[in-house]
Order: sequence, then structure tokens, then C-alpha cells
Amino acid sequence: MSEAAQQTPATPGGEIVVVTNLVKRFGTHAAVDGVSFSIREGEVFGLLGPNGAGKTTTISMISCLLAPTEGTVSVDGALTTKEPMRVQGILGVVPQEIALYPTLTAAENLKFWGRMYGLHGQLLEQRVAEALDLAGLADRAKERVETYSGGMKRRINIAAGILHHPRLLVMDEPTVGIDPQSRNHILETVKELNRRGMTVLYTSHYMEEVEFLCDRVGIMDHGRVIALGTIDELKRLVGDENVITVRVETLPDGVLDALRALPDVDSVTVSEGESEGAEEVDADEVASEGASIQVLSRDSGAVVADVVGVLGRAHARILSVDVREPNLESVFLHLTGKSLRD
Amino acid sequence: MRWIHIGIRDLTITVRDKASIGILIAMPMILIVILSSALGNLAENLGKTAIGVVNLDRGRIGGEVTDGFFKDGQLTKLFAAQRLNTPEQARELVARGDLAGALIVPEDFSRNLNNGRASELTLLTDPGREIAGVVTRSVAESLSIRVSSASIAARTAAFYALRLPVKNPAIINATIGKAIQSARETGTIEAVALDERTAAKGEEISQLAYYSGGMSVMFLMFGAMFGAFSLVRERDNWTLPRMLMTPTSRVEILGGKLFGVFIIGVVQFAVLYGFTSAIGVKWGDPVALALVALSTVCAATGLSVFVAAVGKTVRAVSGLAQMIIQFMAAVGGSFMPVSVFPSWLQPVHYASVNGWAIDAILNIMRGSHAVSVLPNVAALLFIAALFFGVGAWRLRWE
Repeated sequence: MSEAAQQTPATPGGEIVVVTNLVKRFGTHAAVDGVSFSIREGEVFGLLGPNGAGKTTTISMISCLLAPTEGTVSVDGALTTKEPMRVQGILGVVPQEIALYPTLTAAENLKFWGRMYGLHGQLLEQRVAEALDLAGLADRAKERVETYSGGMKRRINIAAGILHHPRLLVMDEPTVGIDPQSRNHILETVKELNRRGMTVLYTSHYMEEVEFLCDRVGIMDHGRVIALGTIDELKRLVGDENVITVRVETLPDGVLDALRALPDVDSVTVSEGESEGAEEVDADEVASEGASIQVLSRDSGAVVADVVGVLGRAHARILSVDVREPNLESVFLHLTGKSLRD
Repeated sequence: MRWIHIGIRDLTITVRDKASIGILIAMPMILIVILSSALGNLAENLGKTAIGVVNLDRGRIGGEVTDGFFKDGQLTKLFAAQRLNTPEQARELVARGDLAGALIVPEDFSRNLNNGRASELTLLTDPGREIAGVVTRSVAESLSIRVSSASIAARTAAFYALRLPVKNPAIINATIGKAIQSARETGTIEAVALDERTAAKGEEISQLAYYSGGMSVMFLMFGAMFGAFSLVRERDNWTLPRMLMTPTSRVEILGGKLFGVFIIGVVQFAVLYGFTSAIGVKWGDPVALALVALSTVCAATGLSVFVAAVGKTVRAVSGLAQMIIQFMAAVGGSFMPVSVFPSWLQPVHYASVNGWAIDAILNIMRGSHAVSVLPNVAALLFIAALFFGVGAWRLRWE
């Protein structure tokens, strides 16, 4: 636990972060547009949304990097605009970018960031060793960060944010662009930190990570929180709808209308290539790229055969068929009509 | 005290970057040696005007005129003279540009003077080398006057001596000799007096010393610009935003960055001072020099904050820094003395850090002490405050 946390014992279930009607405008563009949510002490809270949804801007305001245009953020009762230093002492931040000095060693980087959080002397040495252990890089502590792989850099990037044992760890897409092994290591690290009592705010556009880690999730799109709750609560938004995804090489005229007319089909969307959902495309584009058709249905077992039959009769060459139970992806699809990765 | 850690970190990063060390330390050393060697010889050659001397005189006086170019200490500093055999040879060398001019003493020069007739020296000049021609003509005229004075004195003395009641030839010859000597000395004194009017005041500054000052100041500016790069790069690499998300104030962050730049500048100047002193440069009063060096580093550091604020990207900062450094180096006298600039351009050097710094350094090298360079120090600190103020005000952090 951080020094601040040791002085003010956590109140399990109490709200450590309260975000109220938060707005951030850049010129006329509202990157964050009236966001409200709270994070309870001890939980892992996820902000899920596609790129450009406003997740990074939101956590930049929570971390006192940006001042809100409107609204407030309070962390442990302190407003970010009034007591930024106090808030920053409570937070540990892991930015999306690898914010390290490549020509310094891992240990030198960690010592520097520890000093920025006010650590020094024996305590600093101890925390650096502990963070290196957690990152699994103690044996490479004296090597320059520029010699590390992308995954190793990500692990040191996280280690730099937890040196002072923050009460709230803010992690912005910490697994972007790394190999599965490093990703698993990072996810397990987050779990471990949470087990030790650290509250975590985790942003991602990977729904699998959010499902694996988070107790509660806010789904963001176009600067707004469009859904908020536990994983189960969010899944209930789509009821027992399954997603049938069919990849086709061609998309003959009239086939989408035929699919929508099938009994027990709730909605049909189509996108180019392998992505799911989103904008409708014309036949010419599909001819060159292929298409993915998403069919939402509560009775996928019966509907999948009808879908394949309609496509077969229309001479649409089917490349693959996939049926999934409700997940955060289908929740997002249900709420926005597009995929998280769009 | 986080600012100290930020400064130390910047120092560590700079020291580990071999390219930075090359630019900040090795390059100025190399340029000081190259420029002072190359331009030093050039200046020496340019300082001496190459002329030819053709003495066709069958008498003694022609030799006395032409010998001045080879034996007179003042004239040998000004002229690299060579004896030629014929007027044609002289004409060819002047036409080819090998000589700035040539002085031709005619055959009957001594006889004409001795007989009281006018005699004429011929001066060949190159119209393309106006200044050298003017100098040569001036000296030739001076020598002619000297010789003419001697001749007139001799004839005047002889004229009156023959009318004196003294019939002893020894006394008459001695009187004429004294008159000639007096006339010659008068001419000589005039020539020397001319030279002394153009001589520089105080200690002479060698090319090596000049470029030690000029290059050191220019590369201090380069060193400071590393601070500007570092600020913008940290912003782009997210280490600056990350620092801003720690309990570290902007004042501490900027203070730390400036501390790093300042220390780099001081170390850089100290190393260059040590190197140039070891190869013979006499910098002068160390207290005065320390004042000028520190205020120059301050000005360059302030400028780096301004550049970081104006340049939004590393590329923009790089372009802007190059432009500012080269402009200031050019007008401020890092490459050549401001005294060789046209008169309308000379005041512009006060618009540069280099101008104020080099001006002060040259004065210290000439023997000035701390008090006399205080105006320059004040100007440099004013530049530092101005650029830092505007830069800190306009700096984009996020």
C-alpha cells in the first residue's frame, strides 16, 4: 500500500474516485462529453471502448494532466482541480505509451520515477527491487531499456507506476502491441496487485482483458459512457442474444433483407473484410474485400441453419460461420451497431 | 529537490549519447584548431601585401628607396616584397593578380635628383585590389618624399655651404651629411607615425584565441538547444506528461531541465577552456571570464526554453535552433570578426548572444577585467530573462 494508503486505511466498497458530468473540449470537438461514474475502493474498474472513444482523455483528467472543461473529478475526496498534488500522490499512472528513458537501465528508470514520487534511500532501493521482481526482470535490471523487447518495456512501464504503492493504479491500454506471453504476465500482475488491495482503473479496447480483470465496466463511445455495470449486468443488456458471424466472399443484392426477414432474427449488420458490425457496404466493395455479416438472435441454434440456407440460395460463397454467446463485444455491438475494433 | 534528480538524469542521458558529446565537445575543439590554422594563415597572407620592386637606377638613391620594403621593420610587416628584374615582368605579375602592385625606379632616378631635376617613380597597381593599391601608393609616396627631402636637403645645404666663409671641405661635407640625415629621419618618423595610428590597442589576439572564443560561444548555444530538444522529445515520448502525473510541479520540472542544460553548458565551457588553454590560448582574467561564461550559458538556456515553446515538434525545434544558432553565430562574430563587416551590419551583432559574449571575451583577452565586462554580462542576463519569460509563458506541456 502507498504511504497515503497506510495513513488513511482503505474503506472497502467506499468510492475512491467520483467522476461527475465530465466534459473536455478541444476547440469545438468534445472528446469527453458528460461522463459520470465512480470507482469503489479495492475493485478493478474497466473503461472499455474503441480507439477515440475518450478513455485516455478521461483518465488524463483523473490524473490531473488535463483540466476538465466542465464537471469534476474527486479522488479520495480531493478535487483534481483544487488539490492536484494530493491526488497525484494517491495515484499511480501507467500511460499507454512507453514513457521511459531508453538509454537508462531499467533500475535507473525505476529509481528516477520512484524519486518523482518522493521515494529515496533504502526504501527506494527496496521498492525498485520489488517492482523488478514483479515485472520478472530483476536479472536484467542493469540493461538499458532500449535493448528490451516490447513486452519487457511494457512491464517496466507498469513497474514505474507502482513503485510508491498507490491506492489507485490507472492503466491506459497497457497491453497494446505486445506478444501473448507478455500480455498474460501483465494481466496476472494486475490481478496480483488487486489482490494486494490496490484499486485499478483499467482502460482497453480488448473486451477479453476487461472481462478477465474487471469487476465493473463502463463502456465508452464518442466521449460518452453508454453502459455501466458489472460484466453480468452488461451482458443482460443483450439478453440471451447470440451473435452469428458469417464471413462471405460476395454479398448478392437483397440477401440482407432476406436475412432480416427470417424468424427470430433481431438484427443484421454487415461490414467489410474480417471486422464485425459497423457500416453497411455496397456490393462492389464486398466483391473486392469480402464481408462479415453479424446476425443477432435469441435462438441461434435454429437461426444459423436458416442464415446459411439464405446465403447458399443467393450464391454467396461462405468462408466461415461463428456463433458466440453474449459477451462485451456483443454488448457493444448491440448498443452501437459496430465492433469495438472499428 | 526533485529538480536536482531531473537535471542529473538529463546529464546522464547526455553523457551516454556519443553523438551529443561529439557535437558539444569534440566538434568545437576540431573547429577551433581547423579555423585558426586555416584562417590564421590566410589572415597573415592577406595582411601582407605582395608587391614587386624593380630598381633600374644606376645611382644610390634608387636602392635606398627600394631597400625600405626589405629592411624597414614597419614595412616588412605590411609588405611581402620581391625584387624583379624588368618592368615587363612586374607588369605581367600584377596583371596575373600575383602581385597587388609594383614599384619601378627609373634608370636616371639618382642622377635627376642630384641634378635638381624632377624624377618619377612608376607604380603599377591592380584595379581589382583597390585597398592594397592604396596602401602601396601611400607607402611609395612616403618613400619618395623621404628621398626627395634628402635630395633637396643635400642640394640646399650645398648651395648655402658654398656661400659660407668656411672653406674647409670636411666641415662642408659634414654639414651636408647632417642635413641629409635629418631629412631622412623626418621622412622615416612620418612613415612610422602612420603605422602607429592603425595599430590595435592592447594585447594582440591570435586567430587561435579568437576562434576559441567564437566557437566556444557557438557550441554553448548548440548545447543549450539540446535542452530544447529534450523538452519537446519528452513531451512526444510521454515522459513529460508522466512526470506531470506525479506529485512534481511544473516549476520543479522546468527547473530541473534548465539545471541540466546549465550544468552541461558549464562543463562544456570548462572543457573547452582547458583544451584551448593547453594549446596556448590566454583567456585573461578568470573572474571576468567566469562571469561572461555563466551569463552566456544563462542566455543560451533561456533561448532553449523559447525554442522549445515555439517549436511544436522535434523537427520544428531542430530547424528553428539551427536557424537561430547560425544567424547569431554569423552576425555575432563566431565565424569572423565583426570589424570586417560593413558598417551597416556591425550593430546587428548586439542582437545576438554571440555578439555580447564574444565582445566581452575579446576584451578579457585584451586585458580587461570583470568591471569592464559587466555591461555585456547584464545584456546577456537580460536576453536570458526575456527568452525564458516568453518561453515559459508559451510552453505547451501536454
